[in-house]
Amino acid sequence: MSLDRGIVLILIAALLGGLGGYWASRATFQVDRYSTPPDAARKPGDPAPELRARARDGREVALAELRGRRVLINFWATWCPPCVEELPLLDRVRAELGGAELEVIAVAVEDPAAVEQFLARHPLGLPVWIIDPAQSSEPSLAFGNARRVLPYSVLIERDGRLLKQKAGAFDEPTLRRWLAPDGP
Amino acid sequence: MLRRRWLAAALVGTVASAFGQSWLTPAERPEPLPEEEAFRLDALARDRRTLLVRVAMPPNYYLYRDKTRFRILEPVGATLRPPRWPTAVAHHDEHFGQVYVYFDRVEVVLPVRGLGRARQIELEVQFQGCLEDVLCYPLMRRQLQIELPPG
Repeated sequence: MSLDRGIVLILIAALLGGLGGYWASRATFQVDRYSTPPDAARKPGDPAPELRARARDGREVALAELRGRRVLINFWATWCPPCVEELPLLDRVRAELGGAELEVIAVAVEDPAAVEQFLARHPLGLPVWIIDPAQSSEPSLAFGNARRVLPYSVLIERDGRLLKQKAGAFDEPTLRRWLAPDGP
Repeated sequence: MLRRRWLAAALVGTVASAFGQSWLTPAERPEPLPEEEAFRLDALARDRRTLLVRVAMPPNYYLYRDKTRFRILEPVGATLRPPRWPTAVAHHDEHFGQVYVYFDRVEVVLPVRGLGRARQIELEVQFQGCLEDVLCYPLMRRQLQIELPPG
């Protein structure tokens, strides 16, 4: 084997290894097969559970009211840095893409006073629903949040079925893919 | 000679594979670990007046120092003095101000008093942590059984 052929072999291995590592990681991204609690086993295609909360103006609100629109629900909390980093992105993309066909709702499961205090300092245009944890234990669990982590997002189809689930903050291209009229 | 080239190719391929994974943006990385795998806790008694608690985390996971609490469940009457933490990573957050965190691994020293003739301690640890720039775990609690050396 000549020296040139040796170098070519190494370069091919580097290229295949790099691409393999990238795609292997991408392929595992949506897979969630850890020790899932039974009530967190909802997956895309399943009907979304009901969600009741309080809007910032004090109204009682429910997910069922939004049937007929595609809805992105983002569970977050003020104590979670990636959540609060993600909110302005959600707000901006909702302002651009939201409307009669699409709504984005940020659901905070936290002491309402803490949420209001945060929102006074960091105003948001997107609707924020608040669930007092004293009255309801982790509602994202019913949407498939097996890890009980935040942020956790789900996309719900117009007919009320779960379309996508995501643990962790969005980057902008992924969020836009999810919310595109013909996506995700 | 040929074998060496194959070994070199395999090595470069492996390194490149790891590098390929590092191209992923945080939002594209694989699913987060279950909390038991993300934050591995163990503890031992160095002597009857000192406990050591260790938290080990995979890369990019971190533990908040000031959201960590320790409590002795058994024996009743035993008390903990303030924990002695190693130097933490100070991080200034736009929303949260100055916070102190640990990556990879941390060992905290817990002075303990009032053990009497107990042979074992049950310690509760409450803590919180995140995967950097991706997500956070809610408040977590673990109970650790620690064997004590004879008095």
